[in-house]
Amino acid sequence: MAVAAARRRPRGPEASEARLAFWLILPAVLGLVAVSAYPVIQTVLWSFQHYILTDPQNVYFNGLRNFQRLVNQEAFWTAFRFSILYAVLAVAGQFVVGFVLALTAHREFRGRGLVRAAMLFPWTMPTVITAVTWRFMYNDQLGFFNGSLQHLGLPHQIIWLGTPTLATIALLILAVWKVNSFVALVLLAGLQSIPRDVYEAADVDGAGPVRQFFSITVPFLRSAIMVVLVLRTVESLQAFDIIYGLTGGGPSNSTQNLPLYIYQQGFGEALNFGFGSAAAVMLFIVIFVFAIAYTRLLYREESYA
Amino acid sequence: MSDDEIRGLVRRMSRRDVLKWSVYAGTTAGALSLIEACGGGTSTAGGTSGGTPANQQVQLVYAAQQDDSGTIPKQIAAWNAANPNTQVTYQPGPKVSQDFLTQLIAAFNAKSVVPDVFDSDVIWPGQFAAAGWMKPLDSFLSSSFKQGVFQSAVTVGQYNGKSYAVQRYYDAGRIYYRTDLLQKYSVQVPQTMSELVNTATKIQEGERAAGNQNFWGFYWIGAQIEALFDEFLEWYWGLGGNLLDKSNNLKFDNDQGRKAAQFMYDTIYSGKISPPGTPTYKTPDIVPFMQNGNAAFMRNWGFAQALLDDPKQSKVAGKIGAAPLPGETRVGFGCTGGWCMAMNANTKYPDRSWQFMQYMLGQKGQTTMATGSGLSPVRSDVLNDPQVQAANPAFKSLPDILKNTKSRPQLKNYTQVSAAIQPALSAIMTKQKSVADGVKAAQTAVDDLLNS
Amino acid sequence: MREEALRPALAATRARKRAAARLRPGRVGGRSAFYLMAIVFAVFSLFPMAWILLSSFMPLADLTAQPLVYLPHPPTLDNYRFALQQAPFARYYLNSTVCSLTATFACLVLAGFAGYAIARLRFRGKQYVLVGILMASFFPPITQLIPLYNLMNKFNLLNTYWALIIPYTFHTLPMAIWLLSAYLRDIPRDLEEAAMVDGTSRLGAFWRVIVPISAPGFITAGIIVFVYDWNEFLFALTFEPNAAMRTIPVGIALYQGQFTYPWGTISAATALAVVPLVLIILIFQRRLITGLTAGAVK
Repeated sequence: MAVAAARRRPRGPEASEARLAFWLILPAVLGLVAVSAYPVIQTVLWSFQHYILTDPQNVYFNGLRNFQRLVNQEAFWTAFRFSILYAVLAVAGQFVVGFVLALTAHREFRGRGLVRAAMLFPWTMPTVITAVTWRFMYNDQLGFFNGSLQHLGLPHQIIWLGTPTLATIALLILAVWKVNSFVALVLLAGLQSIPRDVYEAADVDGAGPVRQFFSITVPFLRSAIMVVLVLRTVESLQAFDIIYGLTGGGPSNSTQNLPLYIYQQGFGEALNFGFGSAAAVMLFIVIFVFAIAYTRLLYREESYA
Repeated sequence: MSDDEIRGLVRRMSRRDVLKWSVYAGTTAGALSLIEACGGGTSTAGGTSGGTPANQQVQLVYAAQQDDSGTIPKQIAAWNAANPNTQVTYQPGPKVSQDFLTQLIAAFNAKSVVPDVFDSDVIWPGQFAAAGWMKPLDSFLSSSFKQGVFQSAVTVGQYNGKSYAVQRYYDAGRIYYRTDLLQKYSVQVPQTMSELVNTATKIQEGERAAGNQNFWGFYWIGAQIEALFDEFLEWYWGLGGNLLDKSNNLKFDNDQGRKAAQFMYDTIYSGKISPPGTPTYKTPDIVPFMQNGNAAFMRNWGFAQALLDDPKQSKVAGKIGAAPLPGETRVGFGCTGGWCMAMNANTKYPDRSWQFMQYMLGQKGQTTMATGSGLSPVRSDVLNDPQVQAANPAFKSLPDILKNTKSRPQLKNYTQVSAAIQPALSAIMTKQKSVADGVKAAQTAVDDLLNS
Repeated sequence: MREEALRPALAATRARKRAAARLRPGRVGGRSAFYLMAIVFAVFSLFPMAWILLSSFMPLADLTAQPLVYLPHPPTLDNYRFALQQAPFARYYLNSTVCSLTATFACLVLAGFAGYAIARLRFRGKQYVLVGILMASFFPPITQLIPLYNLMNKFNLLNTYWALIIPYTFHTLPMAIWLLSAYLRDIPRDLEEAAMVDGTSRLGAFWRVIVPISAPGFITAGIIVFVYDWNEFLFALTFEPNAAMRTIPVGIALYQGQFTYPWGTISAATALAVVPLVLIILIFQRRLITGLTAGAVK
């Protein structure tokens, strides 16, 4: 009985840790709530209203009609599917390329500084300008890619942004190029905190490079990998600037993901805030499901507490 | 320096250093406010409302797209010099229509009193008026004023029987052509759609045979943007189609609609006078092709004239003409564009704002604009002014082009409608949908909007 | 203890590896393959910026030449001249720097404390706290635009630096907290406890032990957050309509005409915006060390 009582009452040091944690996290959470709560609540409220910005005399409670209309639109489901497709493929590509780049930049070799500097460029170029520059590079007659293919004597009349498939591929190439440096930077910092002695001990034990990679590098990087995957997935589901600049959602809305759909049908062009908010709520649910799935999956074995 | 050394140094940082950095941070914060005061300013200011006595000094804000030619600042300087009691500040906005729209709707939705006067795209008055963001101008539009400007300048800004905006400068879709090539192949400027196709084919075959494999007969804008819908409308109107039916609903799923879409489709895939990359080309993209001498005809807006005639970037400077869009059996209709001037419904100084608008739309203001920036004026006295003509030789073709135009309907949800139609048209041009299916899909999308 | 025993063995291994690296023939092939990969990566990362740099020196005719022209002939500074004439670039730089730097600093402070708590303190419900914090970033920024604009307007913050600093700080906060909590997690607990045995408080241990070890993590998070703020476009466009308060991305976008896209000018402006930024980041990583050397006692 005394044991049970002792277990119920949190022990001294743990209780103080929890208290300290509370105070350390509080400012961040308060700030987030203050800045995000109003817009979020506003958006949710609007999703249940008929609210077209340019029709302010005609605002009324609409119940679930926005959602009904949304679910009945073919365009919504197409955007939904493309959101998922894009997020999965883009994150996979960014992760693999970024990881290899981080490993490369971690090794000591002459010219490592150049690779580390080069790594910064894709991340530091403004997304909007980058997307539009790539759009021009993909131009079938004047662009850099076809022009280079022509100089090399290869078939060079690829209309990169002209069909849904090619446009998606072109978009993914750009997405992997732009974001792999984020992955690389994050993983490189993680790699730098792995103490060298561990590798050397493994060398003494006779483990080869592949075995070392899987038994040492990956476990040490587990936190960083998990963070990268979650953050990139959440951001890819929200990708807007990069797609808008490159294809505008075209051709014929084939590269339109949910954020672009929200922009086109809601906030940017149609100014139908009620409908757009409903779509935003749906997007929120999608991202939420992903985030919970990731966290459950990756936190399961972790002994945090 | 290696990472281990970084860690070592951070570890050795003492509390004194933390203090030092915090002091730096604090002074920086103080400096921030100073910098702010030197440069930016706050937007809305308090003030009186109601009528303003004639000798009270008043500040107006005029929001318009940034003018790279420097003409708007000149116009405003002239106004400010002559009107010490009504000083106008220019607030230049992004030149991309959508971005400028974002700035405006954020301000007007918050019922901001500035800007007092602003430029409006021709497709906005319907929406802005319905939202109550534009002040009706009927009480200001005197008959003498209306006589001075072209009639269409006034009608373009009308919605539900009231006037909300007046055109400040015109634009219209047109066909640019190579004068030298027309001469070389002894052909006339095409007035009908079939003439356009035949002429383009002839010139294209000839030029390719002479060795220029990059040559195409007809360039137009095929990307999924507003212009795609405008071009569709041009062919649709040219084929005799009417956009609004008897009950004032949008109806284009008919013979003319399908023929118009088919015409656009055929230029790429059937007659092959337009390159296969056309469905990816936006408005600026097709100008370089003509500048390089690789196009016989191009459909574009008025801005291209100056670019085509600039010897620094164009190989065909001086060999360019412009004509109205061809129609089925006779000359057709270009889609109107350009920008209007309007007044903020919440402005504190409507009378003074109108005075400023009158100046910008009057003879002096329009003359400065036409000579300085080459924009098409909305007054016949300015258009016929020999000085203006001398500064803009291209204005010679303007009356013909402007005479044969039609305007997009002023709807309270115009951008929504356009956003619903563009993807369907793009689907046709990229072979994702057949012509009939595409036009029907566009119609269904528009009908769905009206019932939402 | 094990380390003591291992030391001679480690030294021997190191010496052996160095010798082997020099002599083994198969190694050469592996090495050149590695260098090739490094070169491929460098080119892959650099080529668009290289293309923009080249374009920035090209005269108008070269930019849209058919077939493609790689080198400007002749190279010209006109684009740069025009870009700087048309816009007060120095002012844009100032605005961007002030907003991004302040927001990054604030974000790192808040995220550092929160990340430390989540990573190293024991309490229940960590998953929920993390996901809860991340939830703030689940709504697309465009949905927040109008409500935030109204808020800013109400507090008369439009056209001030605060209108951007506040959203930027909290927009990047979820990402920063997640990043820092990952970096701070894997540091062995013994180090902290060793410091606390001496009588240092937990926060003292945080500053003296944890932060130094995770310095690369903090620097990386700082770079990522800073660049994110620097390149933000939508809020900067809407909350700072005044020309004097524009940031760099908005400034660059302004060269674009309604129907024209002046490649030369925009390439020059982009080069002016990006190259100094990269140089500053590279220098900052070194300056941090030098600056600390100046202040470090002992």
